[in-house]
Amino acid sequence: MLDKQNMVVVIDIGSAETKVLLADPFSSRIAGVACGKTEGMEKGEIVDLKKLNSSVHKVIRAAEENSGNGEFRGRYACLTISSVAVSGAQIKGCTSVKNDSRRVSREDMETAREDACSNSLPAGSVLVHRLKQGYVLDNEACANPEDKISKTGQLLYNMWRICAGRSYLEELVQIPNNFSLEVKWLYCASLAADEALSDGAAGNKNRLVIDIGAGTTDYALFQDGVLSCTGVIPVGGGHITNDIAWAFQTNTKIAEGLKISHASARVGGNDHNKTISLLDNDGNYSQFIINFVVNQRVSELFELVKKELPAQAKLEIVKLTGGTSKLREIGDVAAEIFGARVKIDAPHFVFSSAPENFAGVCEDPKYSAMIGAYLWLVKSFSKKSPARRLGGVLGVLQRIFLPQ
Amino acid sequence: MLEEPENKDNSARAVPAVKAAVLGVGSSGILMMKSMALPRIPIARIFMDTYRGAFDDIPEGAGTKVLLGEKELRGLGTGMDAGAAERAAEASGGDIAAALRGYDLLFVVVALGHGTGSGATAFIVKTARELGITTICFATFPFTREGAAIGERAAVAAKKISEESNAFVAIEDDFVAQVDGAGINYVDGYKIARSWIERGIEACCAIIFNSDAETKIDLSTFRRMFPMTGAPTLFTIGEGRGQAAFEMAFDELGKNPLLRTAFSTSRADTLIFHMQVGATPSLATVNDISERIQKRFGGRDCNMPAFTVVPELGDSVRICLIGAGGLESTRKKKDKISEPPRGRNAISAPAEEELFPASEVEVMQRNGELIDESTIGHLHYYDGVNLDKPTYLRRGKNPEDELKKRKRQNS
Repeated sequence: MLDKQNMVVVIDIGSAETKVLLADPFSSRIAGVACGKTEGMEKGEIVDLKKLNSSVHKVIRAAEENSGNGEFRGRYACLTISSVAVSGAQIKGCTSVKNDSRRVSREDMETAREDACSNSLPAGSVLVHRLKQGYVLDNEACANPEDKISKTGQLLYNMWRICAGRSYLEELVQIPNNFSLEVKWLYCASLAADEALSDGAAGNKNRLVIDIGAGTTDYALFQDGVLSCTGVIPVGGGHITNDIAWAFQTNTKIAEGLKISHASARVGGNDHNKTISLLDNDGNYSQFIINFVVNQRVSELFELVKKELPAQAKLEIVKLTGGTSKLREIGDVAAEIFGARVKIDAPHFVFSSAPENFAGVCEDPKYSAMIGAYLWLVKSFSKKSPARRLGGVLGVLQRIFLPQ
Repeated sequence: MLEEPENKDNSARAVPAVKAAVLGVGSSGILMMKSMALPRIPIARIFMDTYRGAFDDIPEGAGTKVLLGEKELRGLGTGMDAGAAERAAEASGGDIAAALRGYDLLFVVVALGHGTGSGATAFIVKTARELGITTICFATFPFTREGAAIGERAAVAAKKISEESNAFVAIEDDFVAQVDGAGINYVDGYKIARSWIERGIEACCAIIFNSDAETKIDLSTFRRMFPMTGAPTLFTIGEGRGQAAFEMAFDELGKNPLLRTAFSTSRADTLIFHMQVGATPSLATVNDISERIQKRFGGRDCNMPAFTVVPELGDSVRICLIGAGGLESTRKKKDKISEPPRGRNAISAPAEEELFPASEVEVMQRNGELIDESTIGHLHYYDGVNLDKPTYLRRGKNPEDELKKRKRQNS
């Protein structure tokens, strides 16, 4: 158990908002939570490090102040990462079965795994996650090939590897460091979103989780309960606002207001007869044009995600989360494009101990990545062999997480 | 190779105090320029290309022709290789300088995305700048459907050219679909983009050469309107007709998508405002429209109204605005870049305090909303597509047209 002055701070830096959770994952105790405007980041890229620094620090300070008269202080940080600088790739390790009888041994499994792990990283990248997908024996997926007889003598080990640009990570990690927080964990935002929405329900084994933020959209595809792929598209709710601003040649403040209060992702049958008039503005805005422009952008976004999925992907359910998932009828557009059931989802956890201002956090999809990262930490801490601690920033950057 | 018309400088005619030229770079740039009438403007024409065939139907005496990289490319063109075009321009540096020398003002017309225009223009504009010529560049960008490679080539070229130009106007072909009547046919669509360029050149030249208002300016005042390279440019056009012609034209000025490109600004520090009208407007009308334009589009440092009477226009009014914005922040950025490196070893790591450079980007007003200029000129591409540009624009959809279609279907 951590003491009050050595809590963990979960930080989710989005293009529009930074969400911070101050907690003790050992005891599942949440001490404070805060959300504030992000400055200096656009579409997941850092454009002004100084501004980003000060805006994130402001939110961390607010979370500490919200934690029971400020009695709790963060010591360690867990950062979610979401940017086009983060990329995933399918890695295959291979070995031939050494045994004369072609019986797969534990040593063969280990060799195949090491072969995958030894695959070199792209230049300028740092490893973030290596996620086991499973073994393939004789061209068939096999959960545990030990002692099985192989006809072809070939054993494959499949892994999904997530890397991030070194310079991006070094800049990002500096931010909590400058607040005297030791960054010990990094977690991919798409995986965090899936963690938050996980409800163990049957029929979720072939799922696609899409977290639509303001600047980026993160997705994670699971097939038969195993991670198949992850990715980031540099498009988010901010683009929808911008498109509305373009269509009416107006400013983004008005466009944002139109999006939140009046926009829908589909064009309705009677939209061409409706006009929106805003109280503090002389303009008249056609409902049809708003929805038409939004529909173009939203459908393109889902088409881009679909394009990144394997051609033979099976989809039983698509879960949408993130702040932009609150857009009206966005689920219907997703259902048309993916041809699967769609659920607009938010974290569904009841925390036994949480501050008053935490009420409502769990029902708001914009907190999915933050809650998911926290839940992942709780899981890691509750296992008999918690994740190894590596010293220093570079140690964090080379951290390997291999789920059992 | 440099070919000059026989009477480049005909001393028998009165020589204007300011010498201006319009330069077409590359086959598409030359084609655009050839179709521009530019009446009433004493402006020379210069044609530059790597492909000899581009000069074939240019009559003798029509302008100065420069074949870039004759030895290297033998007049055969670049085959869409912008790098080859850049090298060809550098090899023909002497010819380029000779063709440009003596001019005070240069309007460059280029279509980006292919070979010569994308590769050679930045070098040509840089040469012009070194000769002390004020350069205003009009560059068209390809349709999104022309593909990722062409789009990216255009984006890279645009950034280089804008950094060397006193004003850089990006005209995206995708915008053409947003203009009323642009959907009539494909050729008419291209004519719209060319007409925008022509209006911009007319606006600048009218204020120097032949405004019917008593507001002609001299060259140094004009240069003050575009005092530095790399600053965002305001460029917009509006047209109206009938009794509410001025009102309509003003309305269109604000709606023009040219105000929202990666290289533009919708509020200027210096502004040229040119009207083409069928009859001399009243003083009250000019004052009223000037005031409204200044309120909406800026021009606090310098605002130059001018008008030209074109009787053929009848009750129509055409307004063109062109100016420079963000001058203070551009100046600060340039001062930062030009600071000499500290310490004895210029290549050594920067001092600790520079790890977090101060954010000195000046925010400016756009329709009353503060915006950050740090992304001006930045184009973000994903899988070869500029996803920052609105989807409906890239798909060539016009929301107003779609609304009219829907209303017709339901009526």
